[in-house]
Amino acid sequence: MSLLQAHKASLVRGGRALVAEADLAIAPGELVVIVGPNGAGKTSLLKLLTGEIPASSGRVTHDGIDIRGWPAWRLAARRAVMAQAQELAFPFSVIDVVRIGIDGIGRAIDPENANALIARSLSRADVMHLADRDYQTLSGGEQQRVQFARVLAQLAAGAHERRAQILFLDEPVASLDLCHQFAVMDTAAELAREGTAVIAILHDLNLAATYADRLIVMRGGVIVAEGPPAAILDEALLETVFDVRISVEKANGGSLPCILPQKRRRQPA
Amino acid sequence: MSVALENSRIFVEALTAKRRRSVFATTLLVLCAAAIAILSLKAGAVEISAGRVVAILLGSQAETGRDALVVLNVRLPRLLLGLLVGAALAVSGAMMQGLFRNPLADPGIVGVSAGAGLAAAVTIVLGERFITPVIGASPFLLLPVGAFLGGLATTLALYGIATREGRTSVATMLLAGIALGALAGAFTGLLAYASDDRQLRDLTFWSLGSLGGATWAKLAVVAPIILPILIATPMLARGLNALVLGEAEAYHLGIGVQRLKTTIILLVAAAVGASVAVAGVIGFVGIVVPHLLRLAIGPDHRLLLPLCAILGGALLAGADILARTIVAPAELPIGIVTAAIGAPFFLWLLLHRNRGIVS
Repeated sequence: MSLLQAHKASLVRGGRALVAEADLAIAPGELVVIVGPNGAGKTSLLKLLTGEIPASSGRVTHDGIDIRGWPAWRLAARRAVMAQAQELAFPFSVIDVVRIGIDGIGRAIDPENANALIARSLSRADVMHLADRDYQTLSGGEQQRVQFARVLAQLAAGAHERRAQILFLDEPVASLDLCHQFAVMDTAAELAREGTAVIAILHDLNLAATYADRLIVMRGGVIVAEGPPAAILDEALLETVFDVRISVEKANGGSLPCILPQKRRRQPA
Repeated sequence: MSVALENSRIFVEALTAKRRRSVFATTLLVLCAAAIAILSLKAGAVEISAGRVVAILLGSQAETGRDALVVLNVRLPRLLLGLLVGAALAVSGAMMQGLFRNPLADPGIVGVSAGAGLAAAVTIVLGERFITPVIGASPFLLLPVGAFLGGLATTLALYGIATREGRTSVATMLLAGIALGALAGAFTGLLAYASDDRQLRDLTFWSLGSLGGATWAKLAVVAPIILPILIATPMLARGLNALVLGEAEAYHLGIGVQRLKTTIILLVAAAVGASVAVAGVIGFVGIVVPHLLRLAIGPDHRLLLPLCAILGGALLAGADILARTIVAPAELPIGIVTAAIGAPFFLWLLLHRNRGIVS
């Protein structure tokens, strides 16, 4: 039974369809990765799925109910969203940023437990050593890991809804070093094993192929392919989608596709 | 293991340090406000000792003379009005800055004060000729009502311009606010040009602000507006904190963003309208107080909003002491005092610690 569904959901802005009639179903505990070139509509699709923007036509349902019909505070216990690079208007400390993550739903949590929960999230995102720092003074990668700690805290605060939770990650590893890229994706996979559905946008196809249960490939606002990475990742598809000549080898004894870009096919339009 | 221990020590220490700083700042501000309150009751044309002020406040039978009258009927309502108006301006400033995600936002900037000012100027200049014959009240009585309605009308116009399909664009609102403020300023200038000498003096004095007309009756009008707002604002603290991450993020975190924005706008219009109505236009409190507190205790609205109320009130009551003692027995408009002290202080802050203002 799927937790989140899009039925012919479109997003039209200025006469252009950023997302065109997307059909999608997400099940609990699934790790789904969305890939595609810039401007393919990945972030727009994510905004439809999180309820941030209402669909221009079609609809998105969470647990069978239209996503825009859910009150914000109930939805917040069921899904957390990590957007792309995040700037703060005021100099909050790292602890405060993570605490804001649980404030909207954590009313029932007493201060003692809230602190323990924040501490666990900070450790899990490997930013505990930055706890007392001013968020604005951190590097881009460090800020991204603090935001990751924030969404982890939000999910933990809504743990009573565990089997109905979804984590949205928009390019969660964009500014991270190699080691932390794997750390973040490992944590996401761990959450998926515990029952949380994870939907992530990634640019690194190898990372996507390694972690995704299911891959969604977008181009021009349209979902052009969908399925397990090993089944759909082939050279013809990648060349059409990314305009790059790509060779797909099999790594890990043939179970994992390994993508090697060869050469740009032509100037991007 | 030792790294983990070291890290959890950082966490615990950060929490303790924040708690200690909050307790210290709160205690200091409360003591400071109490000292200013006593000073405000004893200083003035007639100097009354602190001991006698306390005795008068406690209703001692021995204190029934002229001094008791001065303290209870002149200085006490004036002090309370200063505390209320200062608190309202500082808290409104903090809420506006949170809403606009900009440390420079202020009710003065989005045109609320300018709208209230225009309505007051209309009342002063045209009231005697056009309004009084119709409803029979003197323009002097109409002034507070006019200012309040002007502030509210500007806010509603602004809100109408910036809201499309149930969503309020904060950026549009800021820009429209600047335009409306300029427009209101132009009309106010036109009225000043058309006014006679006496009206011009009223206009000037009012546009620079004063607590001089404080009476228990005025207090009874504004207290029921400002006090509930001050009590209600801490409930918006979580929402304002989430808004610091952005509107979309606040929604993801479980905040009803549109309702929060509407609430803040209406509360600010009411608080600023009421303040301008009784004390004229007083600048800088709404910007300096929240900024100063953010430097001292951080931007967490759960502590920031109540402390803004205390510091804002204390600061305005303190400025009022200066306003009525520097050129005694005459009085300076309080807006001159807040601007003359506030502006250089603000510049000094910018030059020395610009960390909180530009991120």
